[in-house]
Amino acid sequence: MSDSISAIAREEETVLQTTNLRREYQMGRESILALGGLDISIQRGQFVAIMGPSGSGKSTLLNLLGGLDQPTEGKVILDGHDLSEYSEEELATIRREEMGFIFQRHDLFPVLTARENIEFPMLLNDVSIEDRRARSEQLLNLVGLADKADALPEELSGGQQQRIGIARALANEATILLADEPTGNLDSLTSEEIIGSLIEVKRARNLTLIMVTHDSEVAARADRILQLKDGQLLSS
Amino acid sequence: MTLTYAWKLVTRNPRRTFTYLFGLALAVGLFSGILFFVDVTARQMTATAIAPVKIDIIAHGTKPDVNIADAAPTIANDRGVSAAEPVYAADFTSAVKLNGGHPSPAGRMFAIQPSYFQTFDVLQISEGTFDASGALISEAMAIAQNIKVGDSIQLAFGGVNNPVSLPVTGIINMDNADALFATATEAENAIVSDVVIVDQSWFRVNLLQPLTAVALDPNAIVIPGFIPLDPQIHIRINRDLLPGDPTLAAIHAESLRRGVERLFPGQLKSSDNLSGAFKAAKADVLSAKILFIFLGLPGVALAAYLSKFAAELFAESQRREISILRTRGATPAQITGIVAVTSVFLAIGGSALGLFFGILTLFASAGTQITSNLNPFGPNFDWNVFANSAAIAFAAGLVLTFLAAFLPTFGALRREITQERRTIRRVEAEPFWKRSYLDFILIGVAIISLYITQLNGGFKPSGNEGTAITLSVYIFLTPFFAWTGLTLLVLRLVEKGLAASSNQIGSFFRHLLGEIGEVAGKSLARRASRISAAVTIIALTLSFGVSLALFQKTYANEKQLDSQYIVGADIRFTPALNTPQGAGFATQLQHPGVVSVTGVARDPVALVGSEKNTVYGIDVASFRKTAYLPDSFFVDGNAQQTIDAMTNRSTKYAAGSAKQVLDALANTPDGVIISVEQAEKYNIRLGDPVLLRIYNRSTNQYTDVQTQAVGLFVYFPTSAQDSDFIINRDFMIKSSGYTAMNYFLIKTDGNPQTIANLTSNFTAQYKNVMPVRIQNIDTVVKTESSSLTSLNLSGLGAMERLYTIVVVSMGLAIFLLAMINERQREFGAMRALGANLNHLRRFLFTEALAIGGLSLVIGAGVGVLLARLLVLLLGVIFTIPAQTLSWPGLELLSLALFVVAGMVISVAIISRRLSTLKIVEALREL
Repeated sequence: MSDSISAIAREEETVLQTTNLRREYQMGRESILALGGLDISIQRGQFVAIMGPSGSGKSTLLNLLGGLDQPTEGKVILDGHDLSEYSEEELATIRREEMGFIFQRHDLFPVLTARENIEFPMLLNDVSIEDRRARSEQLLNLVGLADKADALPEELSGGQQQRIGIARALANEATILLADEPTGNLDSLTSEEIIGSLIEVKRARNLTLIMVTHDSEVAARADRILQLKDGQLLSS
Repeated sequence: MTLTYAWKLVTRNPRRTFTYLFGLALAVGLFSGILFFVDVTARQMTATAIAPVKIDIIAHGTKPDVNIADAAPTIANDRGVSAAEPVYAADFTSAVKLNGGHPSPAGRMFAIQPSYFQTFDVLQISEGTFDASGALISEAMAIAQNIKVGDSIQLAFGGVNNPVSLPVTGIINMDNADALFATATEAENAIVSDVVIVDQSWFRVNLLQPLTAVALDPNAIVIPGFIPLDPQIHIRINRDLLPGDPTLAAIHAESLRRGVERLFPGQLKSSDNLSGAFKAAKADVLSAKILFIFLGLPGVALAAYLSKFAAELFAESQRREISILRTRGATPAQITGIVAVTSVFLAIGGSALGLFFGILTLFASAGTQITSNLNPFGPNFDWNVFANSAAIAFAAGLVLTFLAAFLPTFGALRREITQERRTIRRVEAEPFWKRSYLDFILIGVAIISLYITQLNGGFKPSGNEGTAITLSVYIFLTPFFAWTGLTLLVLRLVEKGLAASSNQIGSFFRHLLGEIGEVAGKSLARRASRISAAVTIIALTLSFGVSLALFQKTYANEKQLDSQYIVGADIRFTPALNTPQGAGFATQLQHPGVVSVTGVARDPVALVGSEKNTVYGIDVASFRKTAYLPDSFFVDGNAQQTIDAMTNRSTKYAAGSAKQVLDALANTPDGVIISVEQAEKYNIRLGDPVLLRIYNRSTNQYTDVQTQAVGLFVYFPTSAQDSDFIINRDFMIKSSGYTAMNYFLIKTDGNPQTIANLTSNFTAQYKNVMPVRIQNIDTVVKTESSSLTSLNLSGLGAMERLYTIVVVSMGLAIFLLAMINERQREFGAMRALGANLNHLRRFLFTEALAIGGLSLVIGAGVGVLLARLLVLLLGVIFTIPAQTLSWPGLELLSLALFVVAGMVISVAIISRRLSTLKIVEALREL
């Protein structure tokens, strides 16, 4: 009983929170508002879809949540800690250990094989070669590409590349997955497969999944949708 | 609109503009620097060539009664002439010191005006004064007859009944007076030791009339070479008006000479002493130009490639700008116009900056001595030559920009317009040269051209030291093809090597930089094509620095060896003919610091068959201890290889040794050692009897001397082209009846200071005792300064080294910058995945270390190869072609250190760029 209560409590625990999150860009003498004072709370294990038209601030929000960018005003709080208090190098460590990124164009390293791409984040984390090899095998099996371990990205299809991207995001057993339109460049069948894989992994590992998407069908499968327009939150 | 937009493109992208301008300026700078250097050198070579010429033009009267006193002022007023002096020359049959002494051999009298001493730097009064009623006599004459100032001499002239007597009012030094002895008929000057100088007024009163009568008398007995009376006009031209180019200067001097004859048609026949010097300088300057351009041009090619690479760096951003322009409705013609005008702006700016760099590097590397001629405010500055070279360099900059910046952009633009697509990644098709194996073809052509040059005797030294040596332009084809072929082959091999050794490279860098090093190493191996381009460019730049340093050192060494060969030992001491010294005189030269001395006898009129030859007599025991005798001078005359080479007239003789040949001479009292050239000419083999006819001074007749060929040599110390037959000294003295030595060779402890001290001590000691000529390596190097062998390569070497360091450092910096630019997204993704700056830096270091390390190794290897090739090809300019390379250890080490330091600084600067990388912006990059 107490176990299930604590599990529920953990699930309801806020993992990411923003207060008055604001991001402006300077274009010459002009200042462009990308996000205008957002207050969001994301609970651990949630699948949050961020939607909105082009230029609404979706990717900006994702980058700020992932510590890739610095807000002009406001805070991003990860597990109770304000990200702005961390140095660039500490943020890199947080991204390496806590987060996994999946990019729209997968961004695999073109000169590394599929296995080496997956092992790269582990290597940054000083994981031993044996453990790296074992875990990359496991992840390749998970995404169904064990037979493509030694292929270079250019030898893989778009869908296969994205699945390797997912495996790479999971390499360091991240608790938060940040995905920026992971199926944006894929056909609908492959998109379905990728989203299916992601949701499956999320459930299996109780991950927090924050995904920017244009696809309302994908968003429909999320626990929560953040609708953005002109940098403002319309609904959450 | 086009102009305005193009100007904005240039001014609003300062980083891009600066990078390109700098790249272009490097290429133009090196090119213009070399051109300026060649100009200055050519001017200097011309000036050096004519410096020893004391009298520019000598006009001889075609008849003894030509009135030179009237003609001289007319000539002096001619355009381009700065002075003219009338001079009478007449040979006397004897000169006797009154109240004692013996008659001297025949000598020559010169009658001059007092102003002659100011006009020409030919005669130096070492004692006494020039007096209108007295005579000056040469030092040699004074010493030989023990004549002092205040004594009187009596001179007798052939055909003149009454001898004339004159008080001696001074002694004159004739060291610079060789030009005085030129005659209207003889090309070579017959130097006379006993010389008397008198005032022309006295001469007119006392001797002119009777000597004119003798000279005009058709029945007078004519002794060959004897001058009864030679009226002359010595002319000094205005050298400031001479063009720097020796060809033009020669034409100028020739026209002045003709002008003199034109003024007095049929009365004067003039000879121009400058033309010989110009002829030598002309050939030398041409060779120097080819040599400099050949040595420097590859550096320019590499700098040019770098500027092309710098242009490529920004190709992507330029394409984006073009895309924006197109979306805003600009037509292809307008865009082409903008690209063209932008290129013109860049070309003009880069070329102008390059000219500035060129002058700066010349000043920095060549020093003020050589660059004094480049001072626009200086009197010698030649604006025409400067403008010519500057225009060539400027035009090169325009062409380079057209090729490096305009054409690639224009090509990309056309592709984009026609294909309507945008490529994200650079697609590199296998280049034509690789598909067609052009590298192997070029190396093959180089080998064939080398073989043909060798077959045609291209590498056989001409042997005339100190004069012009013609270098065929074809000789430069071999290194040109070899360099191009080697460049491409290195590119192919590095690429293949990198691609094939991904795991090994990864493992190497894992040991060096940890786990991330392995990934970086593998990544490097898989980008073999880009890396090999960087390695090739940097390695080849380095190879030129290395090869030039090696060549320069070998060149300097050869210059020393050539001089040592010409001198024969450290010092050569030659007594005058009128103060002959026997072999025993050697003991008087045994000063502290002298290791050994040997006297060498010489007979320049010996006969072999019916031809005149020079025979030398050496004392083998002391000669081998004293003379410069490298084994490479000798051949093994008994070897079948030598016999075959002599039969086939090739130069592939079997190597011999000094010991072998000199032992054979020492063991055979009537032995003779012969130059292979003469042995081939007279078909002599070892063991053959050789009949020499030596002039016997006791009997005044030729004596048949039977000798036996016991050894062969290619070169013999003391150089002279006539040292073809060498016999034992005792045997020679016995045969010639003449005990005097022609010269003495002196070996010292080898310390340059000792050599200099001994030279000055000997000069001081014998100054007033007997006339002597003392030569050492330094004096020979200085006097041979008109030839190619005395070219000062250090300025060019310094310039090339400076560029090696700059191009290598800049090259690495540009390649690393390109790597970061090209892989911004990749680095952005790495940062997003949690890589810290340290991880990224290790990627950069891996790349820098691989490029730098490979470049150093390959550059050193190719540099040594190139230096060997250069020494082989350009060895012909020395009397003794270099056998091996001379290694400038300290210079190579400092070059390596500077290069490494340059690389480290480049990496440090570029790694700062990584720390400013914005992850979000990098991930947004197309």
